[in-house]
Amino acid sequence: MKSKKLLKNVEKSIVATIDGFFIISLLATSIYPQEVAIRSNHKERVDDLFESSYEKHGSKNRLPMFNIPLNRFTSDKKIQKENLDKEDERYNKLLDRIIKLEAQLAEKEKSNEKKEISPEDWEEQLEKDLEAQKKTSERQKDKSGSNNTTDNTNNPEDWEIQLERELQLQKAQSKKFQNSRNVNAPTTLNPQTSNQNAQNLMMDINAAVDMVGAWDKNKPKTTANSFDIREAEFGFNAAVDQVMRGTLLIAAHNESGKYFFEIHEAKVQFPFLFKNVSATVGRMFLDQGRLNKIHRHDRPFTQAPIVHRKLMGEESNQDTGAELSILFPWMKINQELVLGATNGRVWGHSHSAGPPKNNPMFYAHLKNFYYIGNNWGTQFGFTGIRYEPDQNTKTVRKQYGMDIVFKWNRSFLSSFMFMAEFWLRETEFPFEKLKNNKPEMDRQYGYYAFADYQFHQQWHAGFRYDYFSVTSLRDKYGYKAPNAEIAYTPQITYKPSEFSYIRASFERRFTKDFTIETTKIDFRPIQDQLRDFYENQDQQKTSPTVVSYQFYIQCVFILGAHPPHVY
Amino acid sequence: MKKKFFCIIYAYLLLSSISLLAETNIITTVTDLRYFAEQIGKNKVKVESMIRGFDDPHFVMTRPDFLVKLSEAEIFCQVGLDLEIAWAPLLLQQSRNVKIQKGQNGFCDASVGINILGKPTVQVDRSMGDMHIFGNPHYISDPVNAIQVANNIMTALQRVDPDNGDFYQQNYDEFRERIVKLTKEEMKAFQPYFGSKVAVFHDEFMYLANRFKFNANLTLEERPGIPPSSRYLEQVIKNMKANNIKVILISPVNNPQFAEYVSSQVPGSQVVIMPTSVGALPEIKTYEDTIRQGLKKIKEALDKTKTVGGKK
Repeated sequence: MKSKKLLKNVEKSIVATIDGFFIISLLATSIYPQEVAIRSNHKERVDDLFESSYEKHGSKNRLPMFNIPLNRFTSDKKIQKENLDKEDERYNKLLDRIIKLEAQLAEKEKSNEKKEISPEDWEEQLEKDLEAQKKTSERQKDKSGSNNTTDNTNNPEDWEIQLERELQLQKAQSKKFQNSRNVNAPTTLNPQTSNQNAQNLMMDINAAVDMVGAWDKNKPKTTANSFDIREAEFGFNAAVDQVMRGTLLIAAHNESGKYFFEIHEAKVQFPFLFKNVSATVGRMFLDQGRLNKIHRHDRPFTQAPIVHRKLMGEESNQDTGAELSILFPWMKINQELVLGATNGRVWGHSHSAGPPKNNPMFYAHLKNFYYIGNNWGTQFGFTGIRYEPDQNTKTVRKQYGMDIVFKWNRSFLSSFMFMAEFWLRETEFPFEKLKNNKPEMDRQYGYYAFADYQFHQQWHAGFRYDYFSVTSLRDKYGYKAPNAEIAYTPQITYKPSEFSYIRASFERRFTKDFTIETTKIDFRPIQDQLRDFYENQDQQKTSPTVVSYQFYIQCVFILGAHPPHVY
Repeated sequence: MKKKFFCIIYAYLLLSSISLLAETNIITTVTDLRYFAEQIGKNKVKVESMIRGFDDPHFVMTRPDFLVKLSEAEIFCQVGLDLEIAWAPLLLQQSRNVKIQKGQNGFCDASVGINILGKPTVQVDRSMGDMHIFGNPHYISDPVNAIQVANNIMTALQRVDPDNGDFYQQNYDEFRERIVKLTKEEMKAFQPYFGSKVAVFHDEFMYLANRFKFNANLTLEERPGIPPSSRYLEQVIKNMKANNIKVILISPVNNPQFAEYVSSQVPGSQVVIMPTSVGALPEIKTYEDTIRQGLKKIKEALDKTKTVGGKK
């Protein structure tokens, strides 16, 4: 009995060991690369393997390695059937595993194929690289140097997908900007301001150089007969803080061959004092008339009009003080009133501080603008100035002005401007200080009219008429001496851009002044000359005149961010 | 007497600071922005554009009547990217209106959020002409950008008039839907013309070309804002002949003589005056008209000159 039990146990262990070997051998067989078929039909290939094994070894139920049929270890039909079922199950499991492993191997070999560049593939790769470079260079064919141009190689069928994607992106980004004031982008967008800050250090810096050549053949000479730097100006303009805006203009003038650096303007503007009111404080070109505020290099002509030179100064009337500007809210005719008060120590341009005065200089300028339509507009203004030229007396100078400008433009292609100013100066001398029968009132007046037409994008033609007279002038006998200075100045300007121009002008000026000695010497007694003069009043046009001709060339260039010009 | 005088002054200051109208006052620089603001704000806004549709936004005189309008505005909207650098900043500074200054609720730069094209790739200077250093500012010609512009205007309105925020949002959604529909329709219709090549006078059709897949890189302007030299125009003519480009797009503000000269030298070519903004041409009343009519003109010109698709 015991021996039979022992035999049974031994049989079981042997069967188990053989099963184990069978499984291991099949597994080993299944993963051995040369035995695994790299084909899509795994089952077929595995069946072929088993068929070949069957042919070789006689039975499916035999181990291919050991050639021992499984069922040899038992005669029990039931157990034999069970063993067969188990083998089938194992067979199916192994088959599944083999299929999976085959698929993995196939994938592995496919990726190995890609990495391996065979000598025959480099030409194809080179072609692809060249094609990509060609597309990039086609995109960069923009003349202005920009390369952000259209990629015309987009597949037309992709545009719908691209459009949808961009619309979705835009929708998502717009939500991020809710409640933002759009000063700081809350997403990673392309900020527009960072480049600007880097470029101009948070202020506008500019330089303007004005070169003038003047020649004449008069006797005596009326010009310098040379080409010089008339003026070089540096400007800085920026917001100081949320309350004020600062401007600093420093200029070097050529005065008799020497250059003097001085402050042209150093002022702060308070743009938001209260409703429609702003103030400017500091040294500035005063808002008197039209031309006084405009710097020489910005003027539409080379030499200042005679009336301006006589009554405002060679360049402009500058002083230190304050101006208040009120912009009225009417819409039909736009009005701006400027009220100013300055030290009043000097008039015009001076290198000295001037004596202190009893009262400041006061002035007011009322500007009226009317938009006619179709880019035609006109602005006319009235100015009144009160100034005390002498600290020791009660002499008072009152100056009244009227200015007008008509403008039209068609973009930068064509434009027309007409500008005119009239000035009247009356200086009242205190009666008790009169000496030598001087008149109690010195009265001078003058005007100019200027027209300029841009007949080509880069060319302008202009003409100016000047007139000036001192109505209170007396001759040596105390009679009124008629006099006038009259000038005609045609000019032509070439403007390659808004930052430079070259101008040529020719002035014909003649002076009618009975007090001036003429080239013709009249040897008759003076009484006869005077009688002749007063008896022939209508022939005053032929009274003594001096005619002079001057030729000017002006060249101006501007560097940096020059502020825009007011109307 | 003195009391009466000060009473009058006080009353003037008080009354002028109170807005008696319920409408939000918007001032825009160009007519396109005015149109978008009208679509978003409808009857709750009063919008005015400083220039007309056929005025050149690069060069505008700083008229004093702009100052009065700006002094009363609650929102100021500009195209940005330095398009109005020659005139708008001065007017803004002189407007005496703190509400519309940069960084305030009433300041609206329409270029925020735009995917900007045409940025310089080299350091620029004035020898290159009137360069836009922050990129090409003519982005409104792309209808997808128009949606972003409308969005910027909507957010500005919501900042200044939050009580009607939902109203503006609703109008914006309707406007967006309209423009998206327009874009898809026009792109489908323009599909056969993808890849076509045209020449332009000024580089202001870059965004339109990018959206509708045609090439508008060849400019007649040698340098922006500077009339082209004859030497350069000869190069352009050669280029057009070699690449079979026979359509030249110009805007109503451009000088047509250069385009006409080039067209006379390239056989079979055509000059097309494009609507570049609302009101640029008499028949252009809306932004949709600008896009539709513009593309229609391009298609007709390409068909007529048989240069569809840029084939040689």
